[in-house]
Amino acid sequence: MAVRSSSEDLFDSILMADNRFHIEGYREGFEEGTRQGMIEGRNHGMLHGAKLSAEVCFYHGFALAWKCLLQNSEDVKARKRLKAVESLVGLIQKFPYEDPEYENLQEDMEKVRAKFRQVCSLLNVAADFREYLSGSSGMSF
Amino acid sequence: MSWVKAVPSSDDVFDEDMDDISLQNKEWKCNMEKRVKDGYIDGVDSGKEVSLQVGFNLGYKEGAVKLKSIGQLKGIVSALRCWCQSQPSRSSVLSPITELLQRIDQHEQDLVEAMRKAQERPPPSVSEVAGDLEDMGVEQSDDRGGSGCCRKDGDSDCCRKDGEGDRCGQDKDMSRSLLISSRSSFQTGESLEQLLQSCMELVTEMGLSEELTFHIQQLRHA
Amino acid sequence: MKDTVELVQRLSAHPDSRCWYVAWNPKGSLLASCGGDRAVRIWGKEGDSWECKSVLSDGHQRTVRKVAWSPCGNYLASASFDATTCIWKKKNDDFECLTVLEGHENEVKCVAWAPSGNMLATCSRDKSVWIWEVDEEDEYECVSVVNSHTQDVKHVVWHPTQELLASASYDNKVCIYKEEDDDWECRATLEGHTSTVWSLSFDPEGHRLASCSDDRTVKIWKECTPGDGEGDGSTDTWKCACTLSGFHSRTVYDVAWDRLTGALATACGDDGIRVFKEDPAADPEQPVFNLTAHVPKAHSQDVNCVAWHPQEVGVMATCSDNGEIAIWKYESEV
Repeated sequence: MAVRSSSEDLFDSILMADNRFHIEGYREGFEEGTRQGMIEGRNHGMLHGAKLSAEVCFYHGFALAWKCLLQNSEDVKARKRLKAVESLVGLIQKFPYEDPEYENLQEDMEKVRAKFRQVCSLLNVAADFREYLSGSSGMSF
Repeated sequence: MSWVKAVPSSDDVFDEDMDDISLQNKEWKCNMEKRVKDGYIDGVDSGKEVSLQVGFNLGYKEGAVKLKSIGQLKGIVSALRCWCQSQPSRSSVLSPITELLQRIDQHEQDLVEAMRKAQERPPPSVSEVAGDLEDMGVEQSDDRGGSGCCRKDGDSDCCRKDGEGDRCGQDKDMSRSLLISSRSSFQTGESLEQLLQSCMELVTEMGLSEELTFHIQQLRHA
Repeated sequence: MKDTVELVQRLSAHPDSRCWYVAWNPKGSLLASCGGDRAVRIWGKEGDSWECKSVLSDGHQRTVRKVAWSPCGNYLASASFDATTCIWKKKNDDFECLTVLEGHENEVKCVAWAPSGNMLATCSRDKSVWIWEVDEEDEYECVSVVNSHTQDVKHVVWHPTQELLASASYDNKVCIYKEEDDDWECRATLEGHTSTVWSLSFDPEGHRLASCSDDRTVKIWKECTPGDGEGDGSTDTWKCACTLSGFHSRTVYDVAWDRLTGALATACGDDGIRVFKEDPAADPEQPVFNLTAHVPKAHSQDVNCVAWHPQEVGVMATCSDNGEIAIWKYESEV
């Protein structure tokens, strides 16, 4: 019996050592993983945020400028255009696009895009307009 | 756990064959090192799982802020350009506007390029073990595989008709990123301030409303 | 199946090409067809025979996918893969291109005129639905762009009496839109089909909507009125009242509800056309549709479209991938 119990003790201590080493490694790894994850996630997120922000802000600047250009015109057509432009500004102003955790991010983005396209149509802006948006390469003027 | 079998049993502890013991010790050490490494790999995985999203959210906000002013400026100048195109009397300012727009676009591309460069650089390792892990060929990227957006493209009956829609739209971004990353310079040559100044001068020259100038001025502080 | 469908005439409408769509003018005196040959053709009756009256070939650079007559019958809209929609004005016996609607990024898949004639809807592979307003000077203005689908939008159709629009998509869904504070919004999403929804048709009263799909079924959707206690007011609720499955062996490309008789016709990828009638004895909440007529090889290739004549009971036109149009006479025993 004594022999068995000592071999059991030994087995336990092996298991404990096994566990201890594993935990030690795990702790160190966890720290390193957290650090790497932060860096990778941040770099990844930065590009995403930049892309979306560039697009939304482009629409915002575009709409603000047109608002200034149109607001002194009196004719019916200009007023219709102004209304659509103002509606685009309104949509963007209440859109928390800088918050990655905003639950309707994608949905609202689609609404902004749709409004922008309507505005472009009303303004008779060329259809290939989107080509020089948000960091796209191969610009042609 | 095959290595457990190699651990000396109580009978063998006082064996006179030292070579055997040192061999077994080596093996024990090796096995325990392997346990440390296994733990390390598990730890890295769990650590990443916890921090990737946090890092993403943090970076997202930073990226969004960085592109805010330049994005708006680009929108403003694009609008001015469209407006001038539609007004024959304004055709003389068309070329300086186009030139400014190109400079703005370059600046924006440089900003994005710098971020992409940062993404392409793998995070530096602080511990030696990480180096060992790389030697062992452990994947450290967070590639989560394809998006699975093409679930129906194999459906011949469906795709034959009518030039079915592209389900692979998301992939466009990927190819675009490749294109851009082939460009070499990512030093931002011109400052935002210079671009804003040029834009203000143009707006003044065109005699446009002060409200617009105000919007442009505000971009300095955005 | 006790009813009969007899062939009246077969026309080689768009030779060496696909004929995608046919549409009767409101009086039923003219039939417009369009196809892969980039042309729109107008057919009229000479004696007992249907003849080609005009060819509108200079409007589009690519396939013309759909055509639609305005409710007054004086205008024709054509939607093309060249990303544009042409509005044609009828002048005596000829048509002139009045305006070209641009804005979609790529292939326009469908165009439909609202019953009032003051509005037009278009949809495209670019996943968007556009609503256009027409003023007295024949000027067209985009009043809304809606991005509710996640894929190619195949079809748009207006409600027969209300300002309500429905769209069908490659994303397997149907969306219902209404105007809300100057903008059009998706008010309901109808989910149930397991593959592309190709076409839609409202019943004569507009209480129900039929949809047909690549999943080889036709579904009948019914609007739940607010009194039913369903929905929270911010969205409308449509539910599937019945599914016609087991009748079609391939994709159902088109479905048409006859304004005159209430019969439902389908155009199928198995080259056949079918007519269904509702069982009058069935519970209106659980309608039953019986197949009453079937022409197995109506065309030698896919049947792309079926359209009931707006005035003459039982007359319908179909068209096919083989470039043909066929005119049929459906006779019901009851």
